[in-house]
Amino acid sequence: MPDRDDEGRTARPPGGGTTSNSGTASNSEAPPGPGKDGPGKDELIDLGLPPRPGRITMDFSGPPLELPEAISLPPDEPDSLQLDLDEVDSDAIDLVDRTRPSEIEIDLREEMRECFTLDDFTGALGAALLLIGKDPDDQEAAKIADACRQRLDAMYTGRLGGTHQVPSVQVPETELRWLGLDHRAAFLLSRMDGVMDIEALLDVCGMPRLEALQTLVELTELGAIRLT
Amino acid sequence: MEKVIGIDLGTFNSCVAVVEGGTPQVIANRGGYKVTPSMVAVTEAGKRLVGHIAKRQAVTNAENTVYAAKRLIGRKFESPQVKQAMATCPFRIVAGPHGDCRIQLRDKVNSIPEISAMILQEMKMIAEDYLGHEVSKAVVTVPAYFNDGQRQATKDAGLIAGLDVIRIINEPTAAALAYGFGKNIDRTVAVYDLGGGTFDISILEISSSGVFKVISTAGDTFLGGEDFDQRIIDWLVQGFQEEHSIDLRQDRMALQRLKDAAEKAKCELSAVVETEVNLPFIISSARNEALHLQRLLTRAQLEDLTDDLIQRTVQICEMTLDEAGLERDEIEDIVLVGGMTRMPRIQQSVADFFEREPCKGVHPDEVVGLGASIQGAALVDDSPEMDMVLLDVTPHTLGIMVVGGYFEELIPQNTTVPTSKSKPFTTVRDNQTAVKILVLQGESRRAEENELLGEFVLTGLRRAPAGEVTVDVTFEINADGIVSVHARDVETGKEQSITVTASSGLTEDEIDQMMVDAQDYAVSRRADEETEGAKQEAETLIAEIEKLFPEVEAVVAGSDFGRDAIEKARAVVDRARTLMERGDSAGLKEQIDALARTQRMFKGVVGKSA
Repeated sequence: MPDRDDEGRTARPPGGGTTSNSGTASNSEAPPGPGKDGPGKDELIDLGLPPRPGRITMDFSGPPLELPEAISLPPDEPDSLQLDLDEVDSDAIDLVDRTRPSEIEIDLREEMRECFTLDDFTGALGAALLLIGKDPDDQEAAKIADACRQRLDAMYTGRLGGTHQVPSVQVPETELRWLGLDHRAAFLLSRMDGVMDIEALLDVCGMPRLEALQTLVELTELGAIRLT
Repeated sequence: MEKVIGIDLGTFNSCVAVVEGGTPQVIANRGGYKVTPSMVAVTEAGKRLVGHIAKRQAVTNAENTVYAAKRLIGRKFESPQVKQAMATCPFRIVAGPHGDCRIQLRDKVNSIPEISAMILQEMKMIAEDYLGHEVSKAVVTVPAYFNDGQRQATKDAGLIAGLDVIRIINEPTAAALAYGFGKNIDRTVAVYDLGGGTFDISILEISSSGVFKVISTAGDTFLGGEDFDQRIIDWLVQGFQEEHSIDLRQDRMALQRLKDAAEKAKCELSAVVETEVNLPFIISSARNEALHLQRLLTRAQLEDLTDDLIQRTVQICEMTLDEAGLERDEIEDIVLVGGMTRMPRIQQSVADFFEREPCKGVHPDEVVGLGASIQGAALVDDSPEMDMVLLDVTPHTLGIMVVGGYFEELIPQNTTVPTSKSKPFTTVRDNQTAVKILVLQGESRRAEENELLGEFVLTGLRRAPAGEVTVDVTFEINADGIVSVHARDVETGKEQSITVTASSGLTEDEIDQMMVDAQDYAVSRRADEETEGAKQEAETLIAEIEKLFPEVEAVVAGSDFGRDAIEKARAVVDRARTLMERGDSAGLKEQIDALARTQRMFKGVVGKSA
């Protein structure tokens, strides 16, 4: 059972954690279980809410969850465990790190600088572009975006051995579909004729240069293409 | 003896050939292809693309990719052909300053001869790369129905490209020339030419004296291989839509792949009876699922899909034979031209119509270019094997306007040049002291429906009743195709004349400027190739140095000397990158030495530690 404060609310672990695997997620009593340390294999701990999209029903049929696992959501899926806080008791567990819009901006700039310092140019470029989207006159973001593009271009070009390399498809046409590509990567593959070098390919593909270079690096690493 | 190249400047594909050792041969481009798409594009970065590379991005950069510029050459902006092109082409056609039409590519407006010049320049470069020396003379082919303005515009295109077009010849004539090369024949042949975007049928008389006379020609400038591809695309799109409810035409990348795949399938079906169109990951669904297109297309299906197109060509053949006043059995051979004629169903339809198997001895893609090269060689080579006389004919009837707005013919279509013809005319009003001579070209009985080449006035005629004063009008066409018209008062001997100079719609100043621009482009392209070479070398060295950095750092860790060397190496690499970004080829060439030294040093350090 989780600790409760004087008013009966669920206590949160230090550091803004959300829940523990052995606790209930609502004010209601936990259903009786076979074990002392947590719910049994077939037991469900519900949040006291009717099951519907946006609410959580947790199945503890697996091994006990560690706290860091519970909160490490995929960054690109912030809504995956979104709770409707308006309807849920504020004491209920909250698995989503909700940040206020003003904090996002501050974090974005910080993130851009930090990523750039750490040579994470993709991350820095992404953050810089978001900032430029909000304010097209953002000089700092524009400068960092340019620097990132140059570095990434050099990085990808270096990994490809230069843009004079000629890519050719290594996988038979009938087996391409097993590679798990997206349509843009497939389009790039379809432009390769074993004669055109990367520079020419960048001219004809109509994709942003960096995206095309990155895709080419991925295709090389995947073994889909060979560079000569 | 200077080599003269022959260029088949096609609507959709072009081809360059040269006679070497008495044998005409087509020259392959850098990609190894013997035909080069007649396409020009400008990328977002402002780079010019010509040929295959332009074709490969034609859908994804449709607004800035020009194809079939030949349909527009020498045409007025207000002409129906230009209006039709404006309705169907994705690129921007705008009005030129002289009533001509122009094409906007990115921020530059280009004249049509300029666009054609870009293709001719590419063909010139292909020939120069192969021959190893500069080429300055060419014979260029045009459709038999091209008028003087269109022929002049083609000549201007050559001039802009740095080529002296020593002769313009008709495409069917070139095909017949290649067909008859080395044979001593007198024959009436039909040239059935179904190319990428146009269809032409011509009936020619070939005589052993070297005269190739076009008796009749007709065609459809909007019927070709592209229409066949489109039928396959429509079929594929429809099937995909039925299965996934997604219209692939809405996605440019998907459409570009479909277009390529359709053309490939069409070509394959000329050799096999079925082919699979396989386009994995053609598009992603709304749920981000990758979707694939995979369909089997049979030859019979293709024939069903395109039957009406084939029948259209047959109808035009029938019309042309009627115009020539010939029966089918009077056609002694059929020459097939254009890649589409490889399609078995087309060969069968032609054979059925003419009741004769077409000639298999010529290569459909190359025959026109080869014919042009034979003509080029014949013009400069005195050797007996190249001893032939190819006589040009006037492509259209020449005449003047007479009372009632009618067109009076003086020199009929297909008259061998040089030629001269006179005809007497009389005044139509009492006391008429002047006559206005309107020189026209065309086949219509109505003067206004023909093309006005020029006009002049003969004054000082004797005052007399209508019909009493006679004026002799003489048309002359010299060996270069220049038309002169003289009008002479028979009584007084008073004379007035005009020399008709065909115009492409460009002024001399404009042509001069375009020539300078084209020359600059050629120089900068050669320089770019050099820079590219230096860049490639630098990139290779940088890539090797970058690979060695971690190992070198590990070896020299902690040593001040080593750190200093690494910093210097990093500076060398950074400087090389800066020079590459700036496009400073001279600086880069110098920096390559520094890169090479760094690479040797790094290799030495790593080698010693191993």
